[in-house]
Amino acid sequence: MPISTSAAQLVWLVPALPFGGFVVNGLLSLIPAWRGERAELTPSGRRATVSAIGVGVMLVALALSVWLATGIGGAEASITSTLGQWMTTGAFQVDWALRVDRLSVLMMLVITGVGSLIHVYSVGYMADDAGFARYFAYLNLFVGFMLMLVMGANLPVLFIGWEGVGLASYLLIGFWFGETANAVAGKKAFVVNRIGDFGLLLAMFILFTNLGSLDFDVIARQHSAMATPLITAICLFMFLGCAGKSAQLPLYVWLPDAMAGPTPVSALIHAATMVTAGIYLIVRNAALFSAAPVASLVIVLVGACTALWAASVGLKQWDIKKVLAYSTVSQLGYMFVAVGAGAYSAGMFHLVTHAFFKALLFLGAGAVIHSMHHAFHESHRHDDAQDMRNMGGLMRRMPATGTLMWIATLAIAGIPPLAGFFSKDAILSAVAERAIESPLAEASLGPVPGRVILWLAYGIALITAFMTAVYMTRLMRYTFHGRFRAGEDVETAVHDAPWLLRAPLIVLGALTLVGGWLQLPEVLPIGRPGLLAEWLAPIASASGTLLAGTGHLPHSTEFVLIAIAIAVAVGGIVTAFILLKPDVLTTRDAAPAEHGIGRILANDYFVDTAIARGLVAPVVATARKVLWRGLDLGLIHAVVVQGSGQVLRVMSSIASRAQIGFAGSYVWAITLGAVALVGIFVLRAGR
Amino acid sequence: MTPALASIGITPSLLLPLLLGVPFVGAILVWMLPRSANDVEASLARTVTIAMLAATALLALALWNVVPSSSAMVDYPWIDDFGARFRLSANGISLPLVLLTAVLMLLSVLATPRSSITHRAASWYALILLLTAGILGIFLAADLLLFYLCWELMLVPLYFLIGVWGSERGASAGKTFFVYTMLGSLLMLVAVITIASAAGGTTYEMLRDMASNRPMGLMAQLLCFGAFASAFLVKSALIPFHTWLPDAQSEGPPLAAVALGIKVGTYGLLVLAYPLFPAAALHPTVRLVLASLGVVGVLYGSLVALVQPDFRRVMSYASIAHLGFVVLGISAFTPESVSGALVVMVNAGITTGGMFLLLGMLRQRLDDDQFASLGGLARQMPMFGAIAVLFALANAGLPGTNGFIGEFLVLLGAFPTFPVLTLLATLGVILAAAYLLWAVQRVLFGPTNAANAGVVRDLTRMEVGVMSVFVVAIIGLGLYPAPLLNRMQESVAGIVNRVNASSTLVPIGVTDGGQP
Repeated sequence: MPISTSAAQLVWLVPALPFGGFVVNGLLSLIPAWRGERAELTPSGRRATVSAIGVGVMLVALALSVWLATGIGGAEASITSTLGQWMTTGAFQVDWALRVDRLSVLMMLVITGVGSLIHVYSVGYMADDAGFARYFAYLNLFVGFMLMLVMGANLPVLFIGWEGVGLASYLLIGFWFGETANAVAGKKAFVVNRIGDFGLLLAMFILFTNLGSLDFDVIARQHSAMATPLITAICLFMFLGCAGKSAQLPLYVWLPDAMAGPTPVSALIHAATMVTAGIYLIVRNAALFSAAPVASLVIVLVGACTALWAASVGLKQWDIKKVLAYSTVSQLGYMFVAVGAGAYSAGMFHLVTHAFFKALLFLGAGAVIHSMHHAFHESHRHDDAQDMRNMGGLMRRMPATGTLMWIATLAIAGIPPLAGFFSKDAILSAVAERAIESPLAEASLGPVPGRVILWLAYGIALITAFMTAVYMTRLMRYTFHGRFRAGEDVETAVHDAPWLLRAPLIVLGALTLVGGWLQLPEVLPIGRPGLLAEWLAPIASASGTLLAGTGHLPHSTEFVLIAIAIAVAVGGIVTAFILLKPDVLTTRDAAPAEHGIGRILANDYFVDTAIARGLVAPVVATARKVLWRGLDLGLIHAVVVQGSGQVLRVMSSIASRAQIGFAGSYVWAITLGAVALVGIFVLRAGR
Repeated sequence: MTPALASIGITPSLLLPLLLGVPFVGAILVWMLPRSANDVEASLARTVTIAMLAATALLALALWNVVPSSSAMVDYPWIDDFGARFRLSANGISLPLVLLTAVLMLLSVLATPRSSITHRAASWYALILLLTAGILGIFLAADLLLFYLCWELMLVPLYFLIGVWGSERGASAGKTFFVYTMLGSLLMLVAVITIASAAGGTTYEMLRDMASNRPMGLMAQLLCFGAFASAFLVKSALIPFHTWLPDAQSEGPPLAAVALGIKVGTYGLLVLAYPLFPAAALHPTVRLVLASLGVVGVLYGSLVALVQPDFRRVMSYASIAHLGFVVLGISAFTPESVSGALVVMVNAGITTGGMFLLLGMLRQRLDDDQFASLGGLARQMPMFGAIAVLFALANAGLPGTNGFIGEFLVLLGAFPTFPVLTLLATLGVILAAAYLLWAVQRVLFGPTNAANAGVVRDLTRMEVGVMSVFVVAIIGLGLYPAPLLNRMQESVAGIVNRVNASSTLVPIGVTDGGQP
């Protein structure tokens, strides 16, 4: 049987499975709580059921995705499965339609693959948490929405997933809602994401107005009917959505706070789901973006600035998760540079490898935090279990975790032959190639030629790569090397990750080691080059050439570029080893206050403060003092209720001037009399 | 289902009068109940009321199924001197609102515990039935005089429900409500008399016939449209005629807040003001003014909702913001935007209404429900918390819930006509997330307020049962709105086409009616 017939009937199961897990585990959490059962006393049998459901649906979804991938890799270009109509009215029609093609199946594999590992890890990590069932319900919900996002065959179905992951992140970031700060962080994520969603909504409105459809197929085929400025506007609105979801300047502010949730959630948000959505959206609409060079240059510029901005902030963070959070923002900037430059498969490549090593880093950090937390707990101390100043020398206590995290660190720094080296190099050489000669270099953004922007992006990408190597080495040295700073009694209580946590780390470590083979550069004679580009060719390559042209770099140039990239990465690591002195570091409580540039970086350029004081506070104050107290309770109420006599006089003068032949003025007279009576009634009632 | 029901004699001509008659007769019955022992009287009145409302809801459901895709009508002679007939009809625009009203009123009574009505129980229940009859009459009337009668019939019971059974400040809130809407409806009365005398009768058929064959002059149309629109928009609480709503919804009983959320005003705007005065309704200036008012409503309502001291007032301003979407959708007047506006109107009943009932349940547990005295309730009331979060998200228009369908269709349909205004209205989507999630956070999350620790209990089975209807409606309509959209499709297309066609028929330079 051809896979498309049977597969089309099963496609819906992939998102439906995690949604089902959400419903079942959600009820397993909600109903006992409603009946007044104390969550801490949840029977272990039920916890086993919850984990079996939560992990089970993920594994089945993964298996289905693998099966669909084999079908898609064969003769089938894509499978579209229409389940029924969703919104149909007037000229507008949107169906419940899912689409599996080479792009969506790649995303499905990342989401369900890395997602499954995070689920397994969570069984161990959250074992002692009272909200165990609720946690797994939300986790499944997250994956379900993310699958919906990448599988939607039209923009509105994608939008369900798009806002849905915002919802799931809201629930998971605020998972420990007893702390107001966590709830605030969750709300911040949702609201900032909504700013981006505003852009995506407008892109949909413009598209529908001009094309009469929101199907990806129609958009790809018929976008040339629109004028270039219109396409540029659509792309920029879409990119606003991407900036929100994928944490680019200036909408990145929610992501560093998103670490308020349990650490596996951070891994899910930062690696497998959510933040990759923006990259996906651009690649999905590659035909549209490649027809808008101005928008593409904006994306390159914003991506490059974000990469540098976040990397610089990452240099001065002390919270181990915050370093990784800013690192994600920075690496996403890299991906946007790639897709902005039309190097769609390079962007997707970095998305995949980043999913491997960033999930590894977060889960590794989770193991460290988990262990530190237990150690502090056993020693009856309330120190910060996430602050690197309270750690040090953990390699001795947690060798497995430390080794695996070193692999990921070297990968993200760009050391060959790890996955990150290849994907970073793919981006760097693609940008350099386009800067040397391409249609994009010939285009211009305002007065600035595209060539300048591309070279600028290349330079920034190199500087960022250097910083990345520095802050990651800093993280590893402060955490795993030198002396343990929080006291000996605590140190002896630190243990390496148990096997339930360690196994997913090992799998991710292996993927980080070999992930680069997905797309080897042509110049290196170590295997078949460009597998991923070949895989994505039906989706990305035709569009990519619109921006990139068809030129290739001479091999000598490429070797130079690779050499520069390696030199920068090694330079960063060496610099960190030379400059940083973990042995003179004090614990968090004893640490001196930061000064100067360090203070600015540690506080993320005071962006949050600026937004709170410059935007949120004035809006709220205006709403309260001017609109509500002033206009609503003051002016309008006063005018309408107390000034009704005045209104009546105006109305009667209008009535007497307007000639309404057939009605006769007596009707107005009667009415005005009645109105006046009511007015008197009110005034006497003495409001 | 249609043939099956019709074969046993259940036809629109039976159902239409019954829908109005059952609650009306029920009101009289309950009113006449013996008023001796208070408890017995109260339970009897409650039982009769629930039975009557359940019957009404079933009738509405049956009507949904037997009315053909266009419309159905019954017609009796009434007041020949005015050319008024007792004429009821139902079509794709009114049916969803009829069903919504019947079910909402039933659920509101079920959600209000017997113990909370401590005095004059028989009057309370009778007024509820009378109110139900009035609202249903507004939707079912096919005669302007009958419509006006029902319009006033809705006003009076609501005034008493708010004034007598509300909080201490309920009386004053009821009075403000009464004055505002009375002023509006008197204006409408002028227009009713004007147009009735021009058309020689008051049935919708005659009025529409006049609108398309003997249109009034533009000035007359503008004045009459203005009068109708003021009445309707005051009643819907459009900026700047909205200040009565937060007081009425928050000081009155939850049931009154739900009834106030049923969008009779914008219904009147769409099915009366637009078809009867098409040249005025589609006059570019009028459209722009209405659309701008809608967008101002969205942004203003959202901003003021941010700073309210309690959740009920947040919801009032949220519904003012949602009304802005309705008005934007109607003034853009495309099939998509009008369908969207109708969905928003239905949603207002489901989501905002459900939230008011839910907040009423909280109020019964805690006298003080200001944000300042709440917090951390999700731990003590997990079921309440889960439902409140869902309602808030549906209100914020999360895709997959009913709220998204309405707002999305309005904005999508309005964009070609008013691109800039639609862009501004879309900003409301961001603000909605902010004010709703902030409200949710202050009630449910954070540390538990010490005063409430251990005192509050989660929802009862009965309360969960009532709420589950809302939950099913929110998700059901969000995932599969086709039954609703398909039901509306033909009627919406009909009204849009008719108004567009007759909007150009204006006798230029003639200010009175008749042939040019």
